[in-house]
Amino acid sequence: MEEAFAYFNLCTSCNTCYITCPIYKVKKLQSFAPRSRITIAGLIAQNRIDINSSKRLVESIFSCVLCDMCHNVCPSGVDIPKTVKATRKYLVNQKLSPSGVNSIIESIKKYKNIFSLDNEDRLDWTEEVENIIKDKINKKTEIAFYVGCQQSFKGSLYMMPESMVKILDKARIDFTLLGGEEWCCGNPAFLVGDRSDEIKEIAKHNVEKMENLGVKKVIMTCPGCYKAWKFIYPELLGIKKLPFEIVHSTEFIFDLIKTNKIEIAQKYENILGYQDPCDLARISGIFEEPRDIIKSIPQVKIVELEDNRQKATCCGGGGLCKASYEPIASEIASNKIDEFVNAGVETLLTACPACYDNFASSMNDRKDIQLKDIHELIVKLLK
Amino acid sequence: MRISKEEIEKRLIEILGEDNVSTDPIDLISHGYVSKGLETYFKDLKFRATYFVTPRNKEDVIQIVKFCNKNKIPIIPRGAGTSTAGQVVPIEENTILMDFGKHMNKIKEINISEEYIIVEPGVPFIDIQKELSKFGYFFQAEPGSAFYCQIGGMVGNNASGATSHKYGTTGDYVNHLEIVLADGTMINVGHRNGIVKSVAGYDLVRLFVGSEGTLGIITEITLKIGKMPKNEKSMIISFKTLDDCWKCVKKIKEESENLNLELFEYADSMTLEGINANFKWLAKRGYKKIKVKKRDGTILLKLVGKDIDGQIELIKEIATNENFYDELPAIDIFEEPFDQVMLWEGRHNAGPSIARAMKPPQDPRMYIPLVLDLAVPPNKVINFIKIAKQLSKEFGILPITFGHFLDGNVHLIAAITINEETLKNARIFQQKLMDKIYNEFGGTITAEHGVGLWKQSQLVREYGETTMNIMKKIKDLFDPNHILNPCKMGVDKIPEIADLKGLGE
Ligand SMILES: Cc1cc2nc3c(=O)[nH]c(=O)nc-3n(C[C@H](O)[C@H](O)[C@H](O)COP(=O)(O)OP(=O)(O)OC[C@H]3O[C@@H](n4cnc5c(N)ncnc54)[C@H](O)[C@@H]3O)c2cc1C
Ligand code: SF4
Ligand code: SF4
Repeated sequence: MEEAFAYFNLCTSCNTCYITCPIYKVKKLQSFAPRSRITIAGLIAQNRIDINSSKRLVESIFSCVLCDMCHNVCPSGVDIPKTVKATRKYLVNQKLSPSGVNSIIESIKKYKNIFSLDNEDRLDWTEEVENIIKDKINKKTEIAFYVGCQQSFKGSLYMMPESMVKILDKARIDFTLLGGEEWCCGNPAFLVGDRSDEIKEIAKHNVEKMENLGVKKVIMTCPGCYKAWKFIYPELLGIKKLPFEIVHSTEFIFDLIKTNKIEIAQKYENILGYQDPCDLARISGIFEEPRDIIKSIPQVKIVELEDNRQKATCCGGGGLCKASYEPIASEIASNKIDEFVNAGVETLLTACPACYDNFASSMNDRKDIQLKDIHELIVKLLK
Repeated sequence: MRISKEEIEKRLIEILGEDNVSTDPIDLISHGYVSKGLETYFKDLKFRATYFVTPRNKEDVIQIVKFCNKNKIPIIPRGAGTSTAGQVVPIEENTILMDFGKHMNKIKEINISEEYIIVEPGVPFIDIQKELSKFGYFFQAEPGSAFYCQIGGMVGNNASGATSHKYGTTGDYVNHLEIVLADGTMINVGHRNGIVKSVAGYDLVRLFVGSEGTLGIITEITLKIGKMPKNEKSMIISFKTLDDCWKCVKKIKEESENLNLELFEYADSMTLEGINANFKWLAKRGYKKIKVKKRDGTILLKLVGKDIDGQIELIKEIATNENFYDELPAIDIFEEPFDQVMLWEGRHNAGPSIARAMKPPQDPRMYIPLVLDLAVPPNKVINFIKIAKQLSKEFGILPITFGHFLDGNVHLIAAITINEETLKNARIFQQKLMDKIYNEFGGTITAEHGVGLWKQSQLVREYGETTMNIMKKIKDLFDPNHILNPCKMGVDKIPEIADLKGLGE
C-alpha cells in the first residue's frame, strides 16, 4: 500500500476525474469516482478506516473497470488504476474481496483457466476448423496463436478464434496452437495486484512453451492477454524483452492486407461503428490498425463516436467489474450501445472478447443494431 | 430532548427510501471533501458528516429541510465538491450531505428563441455546454473546473473564470431560482424565462447566487444563454520577464476597442512547466504533442469574432516593437481547433497539473487555501505578483502564479508539504500577505472560488464589523437555526481550524 499512499499524497482532490469514470456515470455517486478510490487507498494505508465498516469500500474498489480513463485525464499524474489494483490486493488478503473475483483467481491457480474447467478442453472451439488446425497443435513453427480463456471455453465466442485461424489459413501462414498446454495469461490476477509466485510460474510456463516451439511471433485476439504478455510479463519475469514478438490480431491482419496476402473483396452494406477496447487502445496505443482493416472493406461506411480513440469509453466488461457487479457492467454496455445507435451505427464491431461478451448480454433482441466481431466479419468478406 | 442518530436515519429513510440514505463511511467521506493534506495532518479532526442523502425531487428536499429545521440538524447541499475553500466540508455533529447529482440532474427546457435554459442543480456543467452547442449556443461564464463541476455548485459559488473579464460571472446569467428555505418554504426569485432586464424590487437572485448553500437550497435554475462566437484563434506570447510582459499587456489594453479578446491569461514558468508536464503525458497516451515555452512573463490569449487575422497582426505589432522591450518575446499561434482545445484544457487544469511537475511528496501536501484566489485592482496586479513572490520566498515557499490579468485575479499556488514547521510558516505568511492585500492594495480574499471554511475569518477585515453584522442578520432571517451549511461564510461561529488558527503564533 506504500505506493498507493504516494498517489494519495499526489492527488490534489480537484475531481477532474469523476466525470470520465464509467462507473460514476451509471451510479451517479461520488463514492464510485476515481477520487474516492484514491482516498480509500490512502485511508487504508494510514490505518484510518475500519475496512469492515463499509460496504461501499469494497464495492467502489471492485467495480472499477480499470479502463484507465481517469489516469489519462488526471492533471496531477495520479495512477488511479494502479492504486486500485494495490488496494484490491490488500482487500483480497484481508478476505474482503467479492466471491466472484476470488473464484476466478483460485481457478487460474488450480485449473490454469478462469472457468474451473479441465484445461484439456481448450480446443473445444476448433470443431468447425478441425481440418485447418489438425496438425498445428504444439507444432514447431515461427508463428503462434495464443487463444486465451474466454475464447477457448465460451461457446458464444468461438467465432473469434475460428475466424482468426481461417484468416491465417487463407493467407497460407503456418502457425501453432498450444492446446491443453496453453495456460491462462494471468491477467485477471494482475487486475487484483496478484503477482505471486504461482502467477509467475504460469507466465513462465507460457513463455517457455512458446520458446520451445521456436516461436518468433505470438498473435493474440484478446487485448487483455496482449497487454499481459506484452507489458506485464517482461516486468514479472525480470527480463528486458520476451524472446518473441507479441502482436494483436488487428495489427497482424492489417499487415496481411497491406502485403496483399489477403484481400477483402466484398462490400458490407451496414454502417459500421468500432468500439476501442481499453486494453488495446488507451492502454496499449493501438487505435488505427482496426480502423485501417475496416477501411479496407470496399465502399465501407464507418461512423466514429464523438469520444473515440484515446477518449473512447469502456464497454463495461473490463477490470473484473462484471464478475461481481453484473448490473453495472450491463448498464454501461446498454448506454454505450445506445450511443452507437444514436450516431447512426447499424453494425457494432468489436476486437475484444470482453467487449463482445458484455455487449452481447445487453443486446436483448435489439433490432436497431447488430453486434459483430471484427475477425468474423473480415472472414466473411474475404476473396 | 435531542433526537437520536437512529431516529434521524429512520425519518430520512421514511422520506427518501433506503436507496437514497446512507451512513456508509465511504459515502460520507467521498461527498464531504477537505484538502487531503489537512485531513491527513489533523487526524483527530473528523470532518465527517453523519448522513448522506440523494433527494429525488423538490418535495423530498422540502420534507428533509422541515424535519431538519425542527430538530436543528445541519444540511450541506453540494454539487461536485470541487470547491477549493472547504465549502462542502462538514463541521457540525449530525451533518447531512445533500447531493443532487444522482436524481436532480435533468435539463428541463432549452428555449433558443428566448435564449434561456432551465436546469436542475445536479447537471454537470459540461452537459449544459454540450446540449447548447447543438444549437450554436453556450453558457458564457465558466470556471477552470468547467469540465467537471455542476451547475448548482457554480451558482452556489457564483463561479467565474478566465472569460469573466468579457462575459462576467455565473450570477450575471441567472434569471430565476427556485429555492427551499430553511423552514421548508419554497420561494421563486427572479423570472423563469429569458427576460433581459428587471429592476423590480430587491435583487434576491443576486443574494442567493454565491451564498454557498448558507441561505437556501436551490432546486431549479433558469439561465440566460448566448450565441457561440464563430471564429477563434489562440496565441501565446512569452516574454522572459514579467516587466516586459506587463508593458505588452498595457499596450494591448489600450487597443482593446480594436480587439475581441475572450481569454487573456497570465502564467509563470512553473505553471507552464505543469501544463507541459501534462501535455507530455497526453502525448505519451497518443494525443498530438503540444509544448509551450517556459517563461516567466507569458500571456495566453484567445481572440474571437470578426477579422481575427487583423487582430492577431495588431497584437503581434504591439509585442514586437523593438524599442519598447528589453527582449522581444516568442510568439506562437494556435489555429487548429484541436490544438486550441488542448491548450485551454491545459490552462484550466494548471493548478492540479503543477503537482505533476513537482517532486512526488513524501508527506501530505497542500496549497495554502487562504491565498489561492486573491484579487487586486487590475492596474496593480503586477506589483502584487512581485510582492507575493518575494514574500513567499522569504518563508521558503515556492510561489507559483497564474491568473486573469484583466480582472486583477491572481491564483497563488503556495505549495507546502505539511508538518508543524511549514504550517507555522504558512500561517504567518498568509497573515502577512493578507495585510498587504488589505492595507496596500484594497484587494479581496476571493475573486471567484468563494469563502467557504478557510477564508471566512478575513471577511471582517475586508468589510468591517458593521457590514458583517448585516450579513449575519441576513443569515438569521433566512436560516434562524443555522442549519444550512453552518460554520461557513463568516456569518456563523468560526471553527478554530479555519484560517489555520491555533497553529504557529
Ligand atoms: C482545478 C480547479 C479549478 C477551479 N477554477 C475555478 C475558477 O476558475 N473559478 C471558480 O469560480 N471556481 C473555480 N474552482 C472552484 C469550483 O470548482 C467552482 O466554484 C465550481 O463551480 C464549484 O462547483 P461544484 O459543483 O464542485 O460545487 P460544490 O463544491 O459541490 O459546491 C459549491 C457551493 O455551492 C453550494 N451548493 C451546491 N449545490 C447547491 C444547491 N443545490 N443549493 C444551494 N447551494 C448549493 C455548496 O453548498 C457549496 O457551498 C476550481 C476548482 C478546481 C478544483
Ligand atoms: S484528477 Fe487526479 S488529482 Fe484530481 S481528484 Fe482525480 S485523482 Fe485526484
Ligand atoms: S479506471 Fe476507469 S472505472 Fe476505474 S476509476 Fe478510473 S475511470 Fe473509473
